[in-house]
Amino acid sequence: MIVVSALGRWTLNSSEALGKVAVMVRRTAEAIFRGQWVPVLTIEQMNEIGVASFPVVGLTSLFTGMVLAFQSGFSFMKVFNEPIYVGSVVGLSLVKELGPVLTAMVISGRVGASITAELGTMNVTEQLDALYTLGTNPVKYLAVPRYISMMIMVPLLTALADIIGVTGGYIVAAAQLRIPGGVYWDEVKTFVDMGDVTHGLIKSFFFGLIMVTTSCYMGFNCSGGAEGVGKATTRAVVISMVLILVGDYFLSAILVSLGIGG
Amino acid sequence: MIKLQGIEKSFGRNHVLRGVDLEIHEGETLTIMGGSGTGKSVLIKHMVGLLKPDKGRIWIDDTEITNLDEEALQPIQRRFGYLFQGAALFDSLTVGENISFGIKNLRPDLLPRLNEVVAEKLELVGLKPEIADLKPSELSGGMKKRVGLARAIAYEPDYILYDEPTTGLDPIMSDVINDLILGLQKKLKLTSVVVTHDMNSAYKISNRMAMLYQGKVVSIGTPDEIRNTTNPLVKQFVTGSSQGPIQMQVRTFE
Repeated sequence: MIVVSALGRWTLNSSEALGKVAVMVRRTAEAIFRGQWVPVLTIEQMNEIGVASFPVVGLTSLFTGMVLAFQSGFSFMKVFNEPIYVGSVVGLSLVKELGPVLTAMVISGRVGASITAELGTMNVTEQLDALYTLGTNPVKYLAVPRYISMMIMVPLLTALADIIGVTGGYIVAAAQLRIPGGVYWDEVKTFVDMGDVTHGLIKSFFFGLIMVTTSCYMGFNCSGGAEGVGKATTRAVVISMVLILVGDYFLSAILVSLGIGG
Repeated sequence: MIKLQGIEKSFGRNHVLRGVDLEIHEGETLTIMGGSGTGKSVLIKHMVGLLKPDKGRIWIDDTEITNLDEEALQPIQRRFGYLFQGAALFDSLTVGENISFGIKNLRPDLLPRLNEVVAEKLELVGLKPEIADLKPSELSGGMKKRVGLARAIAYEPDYILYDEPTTGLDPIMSDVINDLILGLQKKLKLTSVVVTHDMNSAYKISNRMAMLYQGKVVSIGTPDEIRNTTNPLVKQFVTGSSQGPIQMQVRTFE
């Protein structure tokens, strides 16, 4: 009986949450398509999400590319006696998987958490209610600039992460594995085509949507003062990361079946 | 005129309002008093459309706003100023930007003399116009309330809702805020609804007082009528006695 009751409560709560998410996304989409967004706030958010995240995304992707080259190079040396296909392993792994996923993880921790904390604090201190009474819809004023910025900046950062990561791979390939530059870049160009790049960038676009939707929803719907904001922030980051990893598989499967980066 | 009829509101299993009937007349200051958690703030949020009732109807003058959507509600909302409990100033904006926020959205006709209006409203609440460049984090609790008040009256509303305007302030600052509310009432002829459990404040600023208990208005009258009431619920509340029909949930530590 207790199990049935708990299952019923979980179903009701989940349905309510999904309904609220749907309403928020619909309102945001309407505002974006009707041009009801504040350019200054959107540029501010692009700066916060994109420009301010670049150093940490760049550093992460540089070392990811370097470690990929290092591990694959020495593994191939054991098997084939020479470090072959390092460029292809680094290029494909980064462009299709690690670039989008790692960039999303970094942005989720840095930006997603800050979005939930900021909106959540505004919520518990009644600043969201204050916006309503002053003739401003919080979704249009707060969510829309963040949605636009995430949808543009996450793919852009992913593209930069891809370039920096592959370059990191080249540094290790040239300095430690003694692979000639021409060979490394030829392997990258041979095995990575535009379909693979598009595959990664499309996924990063959806990862951006997942992160901003989770973070905004958690911020707009948290309660219980500072403790509630803290819990909502943690939940937003955890849920975003899980959804990104789960979504990554399904998005990859769909894109491959559509012939994009297959 | 604000009229509430049979307002009911629940949050999950918590049935907060259980049929509130209340009418606020043009130009009066009505205080809603009641213990913590009785739904006073929830009630005034219904007046401005921040919350929708589960049951009941709400009128602002001749317009019923109960089921109006966000867009249709906007012309009504712009007639209301709202002073929130913690002032709810926007942290990322300066004092001046906070005050001009409502003007930009609700009174674009005031935009050509925006700085002048901001300075004027700051002076009206007893603050110097020079503080317009400060951030809310640089203000004291009393100053925040005053800036919140300046923001609420900046676009010259017809109604003003005060949610616990003196909570968290020292007695002298509380009286300063009371005087401000009275002064604004005289100067701007606003219709005001004040939520408070500060009885000194309620007696000083109200034309009428209403007591909310267990989700209903149990008594309403002038300050003198409330002071001399024979209703045991109201009597216990206004005298602040722990003995009487109102039983508070008190957790004891043994």
